[in-house]
Amino acid sequence: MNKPAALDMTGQQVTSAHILVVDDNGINRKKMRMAVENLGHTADVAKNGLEALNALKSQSFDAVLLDILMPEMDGFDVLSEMKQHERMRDVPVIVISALDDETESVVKAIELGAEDFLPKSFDPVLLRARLGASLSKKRFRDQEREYFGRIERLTEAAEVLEGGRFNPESLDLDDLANKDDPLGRLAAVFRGMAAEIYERELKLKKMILTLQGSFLVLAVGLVWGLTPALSRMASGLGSNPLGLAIWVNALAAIFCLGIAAYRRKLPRLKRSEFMFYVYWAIIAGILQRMTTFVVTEHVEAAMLSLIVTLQGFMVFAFAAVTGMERASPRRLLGLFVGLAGVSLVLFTRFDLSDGAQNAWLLFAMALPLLFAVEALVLAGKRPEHVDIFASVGLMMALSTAMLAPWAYFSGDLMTLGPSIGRLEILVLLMGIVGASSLLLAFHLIATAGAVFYSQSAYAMTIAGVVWGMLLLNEELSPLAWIAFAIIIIGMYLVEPKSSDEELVIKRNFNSES
Amino acid sequence: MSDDVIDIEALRRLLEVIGGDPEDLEELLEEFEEVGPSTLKTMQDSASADDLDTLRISSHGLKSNARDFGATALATACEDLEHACKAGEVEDPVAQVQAISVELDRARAALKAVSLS
Repeated sequence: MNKPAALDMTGQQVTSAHILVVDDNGINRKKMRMAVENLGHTADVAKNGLEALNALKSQSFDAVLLDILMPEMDGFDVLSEMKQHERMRDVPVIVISALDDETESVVKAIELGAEDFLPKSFDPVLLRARLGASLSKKRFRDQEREYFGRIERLTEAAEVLEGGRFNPESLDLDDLANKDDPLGRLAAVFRGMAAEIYERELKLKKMILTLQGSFLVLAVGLVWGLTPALSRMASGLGSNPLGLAIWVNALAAIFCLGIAAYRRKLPRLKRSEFMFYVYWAIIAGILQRMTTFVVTEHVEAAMLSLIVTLQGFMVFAFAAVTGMERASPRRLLGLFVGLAGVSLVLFTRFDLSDGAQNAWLLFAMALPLLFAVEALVLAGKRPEHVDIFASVGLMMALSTAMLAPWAYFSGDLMTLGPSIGRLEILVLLMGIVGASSLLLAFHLIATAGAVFYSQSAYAMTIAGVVWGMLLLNEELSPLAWIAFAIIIIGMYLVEPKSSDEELVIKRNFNSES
Repeated sequence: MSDDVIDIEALRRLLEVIGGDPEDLEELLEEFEEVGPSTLKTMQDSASADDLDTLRISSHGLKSNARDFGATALATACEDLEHACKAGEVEDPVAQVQAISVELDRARAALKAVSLS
């Protein structure tokens, strides 16, 4: 059959609606369905109240034509049930009644929330008019609800902005902004401005982070760069590497644990966390320190400092391969540039005729490797709840405890004091340098990431060379200075790791608060 | 003859309501051929059993169908019975249903003969 388009009261075409016909009388049901379909709508039928409610629960209808007198669950029951459910509450109901004898029923139905009524023997014009009116009311209500819903979401977004979160994603306005009406345009402007502010602040925060990180990198390098020079001086005063390591680590441990205790931050550790400190102590407290002290007896401090820059390349390679940090071409280039600088310096010192010196240079490369492993272990496995002073102090204490028996049996225990000579002052200084460089490194790794931290190796190198020149009168060739410049460019190219956490900007929009 | 039993205007209105397709009207009438007698059976049973509630609901149903098809006399007889049931005072329900049965037969016969064209 040819279906006519649905028309409203004024004869204009309206969109087809989905109507539920509820009647226990089969002929009536069929008649109503035909009548509704004749108006261009689609119809579903239910032959009792229960079926009607089930249909209303599972599908969405634009209107219900409801018979009152039905066995078991009648029209009144359906009406009251509908008003209890959010989903059905706003579906308009037109009760069908034989008006002549059911005036009371109609009144009751309207009191229960029915939208309108229709006599059983209606003519088509009346059905069209009543259904049309109910449907346009429903459509208007739906629009209104949708509109208020959008206003509510905009208000929520404004509250999010007020809370300082400018990230466009946290505003959740994308679907709203895509609507082509005034409210949609308002949402789009809202989102656009928030995004602009967010990007600006993000850039600013990144700049601050880079500046902070660069400062820390320089500080770590400067302090740590002292170590080769100081240990070379100490070895010149007749110390032995093992004995020196024990004193330096013990002093650093006392220094750090003292501060942690003063701040009441001494931790309680789980077994797995304790094992982290044991590993760290072996890597940083024993292997690193012993290598440094042994190598400095044979290699110039400035030279050793240059070799240490290899650390940057090693950390980056590890971090990139394991996916710990982002491996952008820019960062990669920066590390290669730094590496090129170091190679240049090594090239100036590599003497083919001096086999022993070359062997020591190769051995010295173990040091950057150890630094690299340490940086990665700290970045990936460090128990984050433990205080930084307690962490470093505990590690130093553990390494001292492990080194002491070895030194005792090998006869390497050094006695210092009671009179304060140059060596005593030197060892004290080395203890403080050892502790503070570790503290700075720890903080830098936690805030900027292992790759950026590893750039401190370059600063360490520069500082090491300068300290070597100042304290030991070592000299570097012009080629070595060129190498420095190259290393610094490399450092610039590697930015700190970007933070994942959402940027929250503290700002007040309320004039009164 | 059918005009006495069937209100042609009512039938025309029904046809208009359902969209004007005589086949659809035919479908409704065929259904009435089945539903009419079965409703009557329910009425007879409930009248014998003095079950006024069932009698009222089935009278109501038959009344509304009768009205749609323009079977005025049948509709009026059903309405009277429905009202009596509602008031709880039905005089000889079996006899009343018997009268309705006669009206139903007349209406069905008349509807078969009716032509709207």
